[in-house]
Amino acid sequence: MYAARNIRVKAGGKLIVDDVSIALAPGKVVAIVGPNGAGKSTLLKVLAGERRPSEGEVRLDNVSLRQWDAFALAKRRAVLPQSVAVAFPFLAEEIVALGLPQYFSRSEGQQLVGRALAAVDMSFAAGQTYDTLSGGERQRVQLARVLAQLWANGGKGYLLLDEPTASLDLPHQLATLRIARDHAKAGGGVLAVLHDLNLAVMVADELVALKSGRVIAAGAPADIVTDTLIRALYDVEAKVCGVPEGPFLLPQTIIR
Amino acid sequence: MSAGDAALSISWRRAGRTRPILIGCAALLVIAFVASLAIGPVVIAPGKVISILFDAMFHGRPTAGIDMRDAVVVLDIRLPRAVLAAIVGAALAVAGALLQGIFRNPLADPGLVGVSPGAALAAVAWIVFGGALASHLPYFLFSHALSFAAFAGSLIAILLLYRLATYEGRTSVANLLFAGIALGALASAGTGLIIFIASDLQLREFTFWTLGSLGAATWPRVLLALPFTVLLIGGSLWLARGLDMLALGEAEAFHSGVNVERMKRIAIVIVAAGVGAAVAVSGIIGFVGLVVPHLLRLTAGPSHKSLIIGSAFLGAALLTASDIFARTAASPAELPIGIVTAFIGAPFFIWLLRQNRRSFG
Repeated sequence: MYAARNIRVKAGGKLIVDDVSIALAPGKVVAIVGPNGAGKSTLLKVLAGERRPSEGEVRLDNVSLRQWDAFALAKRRAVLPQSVAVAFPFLAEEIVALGLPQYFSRSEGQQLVGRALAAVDMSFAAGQTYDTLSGGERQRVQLARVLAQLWANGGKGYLLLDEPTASLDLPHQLATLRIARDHAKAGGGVLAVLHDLNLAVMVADELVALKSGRVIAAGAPADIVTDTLIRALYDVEAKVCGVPEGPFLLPQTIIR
Repeated sequence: MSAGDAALSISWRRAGRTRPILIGCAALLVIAFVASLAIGPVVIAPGKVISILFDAMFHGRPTAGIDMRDAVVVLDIRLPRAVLAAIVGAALAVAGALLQGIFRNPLADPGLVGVSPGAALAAVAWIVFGGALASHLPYFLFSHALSFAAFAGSLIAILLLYRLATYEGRTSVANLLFAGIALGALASAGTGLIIFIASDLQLREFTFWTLGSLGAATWPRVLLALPFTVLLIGGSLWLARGLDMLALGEAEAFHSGVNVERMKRIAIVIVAAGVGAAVAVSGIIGFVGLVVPHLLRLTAGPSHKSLIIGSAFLGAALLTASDIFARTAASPAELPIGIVTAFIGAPFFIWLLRQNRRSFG
């Protein structure tokens, strides 16, 4: 269990995250949605252990995050940032291999890295230099890296994703969400910051709607995604429609 | 794992290439080392050099005739110098590789970014002003005082550099170079001022020393530099995997399980130790730390384990070879070795900048 309780983050006298509690259980996908500057990424950084909250506490496996060292934490959770610039000319397969523990044997590593690259549909680029890949391809290689990190440690850890679909084309957006679901099905937990509300509704068991650092709604997508929520969240008048699979939002209804 | 998973395996494209390159670098070092024992005013055949070395190790030294003369030339005159060149070259190249890894930037060279000038300033200051303190120091500290001074100077320079060039965990190239140039200029100005105060006799010595020379190589100097260099190389290898992860960024390295702050602290201390020792025994020798790791990244790839092993071998080979040139080109006079490495390194540096004009933005 990954649980954050009453998190507050202050920076420059401003409250970026204001009294947020969030829980992530194995087998579940939780999506954080909200407008730019709502504090989504900051909240993700707090959960990742990268940033200390000003108040509140994050617990992982019932132990305060302060007591986890970087090495132990890396075995239990992996983090996909919005984008990663790599300093030296590493190959895609070498980037993915950075997710593996040092003691991994050569053949084990080869299989795991190969499997991770295949999962994100990047096998063709294994031997290419990371810098020569497009933005979306880089993001997929990074996803393969964090998958390799979790798979190498039992495959049941927590996956924290910061806008994993931002630079991807439609098929790869869907493939990424499929990977998130599969990870949850395999017994891991997934927390994803997502901008596309429709994608969030598709993938998530639970949505957390964040605005100005506060949770304004949380729950199953079918229960909370309404015209009222869209107005409250984005100050946009939109019509939420429904199909048996859940609510969806047609951008056209906003413009026309 | 199923057969289907095995079919997805990747091949580690660079793995087959790295080992031959590292062996090649080691071979270059052996060649440069033997050549440096063979070449000089008295030329001794490489085969003879090797047999002298083996005899000295296993049988003892010849005591008469031309064999004795050759043994003296090889073992007493050239060997300490060749060993010192190898140690200093390895230290500078590995320090470059480590600095570049920590700053996530291929332009960080200890000479270029002010670390070596900082060490030189502290060392010169010790030579001129330290005499007054010397009698109060315990013997051990006194005999190693120059090294400790250089170590302290390079440590302060690196810490300042880090403070100036890094903001919120990110190092901009422009800031790194500007801060490095400013620190280097300041340290060189300080060194110049001290030299201005110094006597005529010291002046000539200092000028040569700051340009770099291995001319004063002796076994005690070798023993002075060796432990610091071993510390630097061993420590760098220990940090290698973390440095690879740091290439992804500081936050990403932390996510992958690296204690980034501890790694940076260790790196700064061992770079200061290695560069301090190198500067203390040989003055400022530039560009080795820039050229060597870059060549290796181009050929063997950027993975830090192979980069550091290769840098140690190739840096040692390059400086040993440069020293042969430095002491024979204008024989019987000696060129400062820093001039030789600058003539090799500066054009290379310019080429490097042109190659990477876009990516260094």
